[in-house]
Amino acid sequence: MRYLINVVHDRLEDYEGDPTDLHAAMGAFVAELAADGVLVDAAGLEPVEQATRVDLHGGKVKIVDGPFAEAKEWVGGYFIVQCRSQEEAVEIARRSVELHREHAPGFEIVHEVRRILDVE
Amino acid sequence: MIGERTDGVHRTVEAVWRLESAKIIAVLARMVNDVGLAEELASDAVIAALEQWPAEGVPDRPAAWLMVTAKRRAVDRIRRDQNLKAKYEQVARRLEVSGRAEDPIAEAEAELDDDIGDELLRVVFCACHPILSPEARAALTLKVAAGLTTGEIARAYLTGEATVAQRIVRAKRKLAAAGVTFEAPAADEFDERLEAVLEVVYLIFNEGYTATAGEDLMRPELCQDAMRLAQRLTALLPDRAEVLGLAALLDFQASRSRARIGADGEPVPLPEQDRAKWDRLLIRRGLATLHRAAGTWSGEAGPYVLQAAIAACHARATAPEQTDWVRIAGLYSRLLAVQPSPVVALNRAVAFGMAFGPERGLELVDEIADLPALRGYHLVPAVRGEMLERMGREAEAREAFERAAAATDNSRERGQLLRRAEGLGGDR
Repeated sequence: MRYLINVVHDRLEDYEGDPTDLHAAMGAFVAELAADGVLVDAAGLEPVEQATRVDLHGGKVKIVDGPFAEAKEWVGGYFIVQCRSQEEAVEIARRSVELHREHAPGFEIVHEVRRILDVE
Repeated sequence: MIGERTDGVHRTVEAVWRLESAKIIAVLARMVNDVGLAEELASDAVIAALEQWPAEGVPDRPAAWLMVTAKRRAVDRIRRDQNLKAKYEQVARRLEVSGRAEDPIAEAEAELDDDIGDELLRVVFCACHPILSPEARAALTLKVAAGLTTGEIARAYLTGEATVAQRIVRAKRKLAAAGVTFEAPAADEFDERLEAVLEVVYLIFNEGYTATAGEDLMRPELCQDAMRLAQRLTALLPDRAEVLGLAALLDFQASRSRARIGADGEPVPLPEQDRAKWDRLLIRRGLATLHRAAGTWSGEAGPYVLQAAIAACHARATAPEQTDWVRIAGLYSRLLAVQPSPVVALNRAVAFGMAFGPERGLELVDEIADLPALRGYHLVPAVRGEMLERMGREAEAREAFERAAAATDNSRERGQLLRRAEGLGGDR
């Protein structure tokens, strides 16, 4: 089974602490997931200011460049992991969240664990 | 509701076990100098978790909890068992001291965070020891290095849990009797022992990929377990080309899982596969791993690197006609030189048939068809049929496909070969 773990958080720019430790810890964490053989892919995403949205609303296609005023949190990165169960993917997400708690106190973050359909 | 909750906790225990057991077993094995005993101690801790977590909740640091518990159980067990007591009294004393540490959880966590690459490798080398039968090696490896429960191994191999448990117990006894409970291979036998490890991983993968028993053509979970082991080995031995080659090969093969079985459960041959269904992420990881392998070897590449390179040629082709068959034919010739096996020779014939025409392919098949190792192997007539069909010799092709169908044990494959025969004209 394969899972996408979306890392959803506030603007990192608004975080008052120093994210250097967090970046190092997350780098080590990704390396560990690879060494454990569960990692298929992982990446961080550029700030949402650089994003573009292609929307379909009321039958109209609209292309909107960032920044998006209404967006307070967004997907800042993702993991794709291969594991035997959702619990295992949740355990991986929990560890990532623990690392955020330890290395970026006060930073609010959500890890959304989603099963990817139909990979088998 | 309680049942549901217990079930959820049960799955959490399994998840933690799967992620951490190899490390826990490696650390314990270093303490007691015995992989078999380490595995039992770790299993004791899992049983304790299954008893305590439903009531007390999942601890904050589940892996460290298991480690601390395993150490406590180890002390109990050593004190209780006279045989163990004689051998492990000192170990028990050391464990007791570490159990009284100010913060045992933090200490256990530090132990798990330590660089335990050497210990993990030793665990794998023990599990894949040449004195064990192939079945025992696979079962023990899945148990101590891939975090599978005995029940999961049994289900993967479509056999009884008691059989697998027996197999593991006997394997451990055999290792103990031979005094190879936690040894690293000597430098002069390292290559050979590593080859045995890679073979075990590949056999596990193939058991899942080409199910040899049962109606299903695939057991994807077993493939994933093998891939996981292969990835772990690349982290432990990053400069061994063949380790990287195997990991890449498994990724390429697995990348085609979705495409190689049709909607009706029939196998779909590579040229007819819907390449949109190929798993691009696995292909990407495989190509990156193969690229790393290319940086590590000098001289002639080994069999896994060459097989991965062949698989990469297929993976790179976005349509069958873009396949670089000339390159593949050359790679098969090199593969045949380092791994002179009849099956490789047969695949080489197929590649030459694609690269230089079916006449050349048929010529090569006929050269090897009478080898004792290929007698009764259904793919020989299947390949002959393929070549003959392309040459327009339909009656002979039909006969070849029928022979192939009669020789295979896999019911789905048989059906497919028969349909291929029926699709051909030719007088009978």
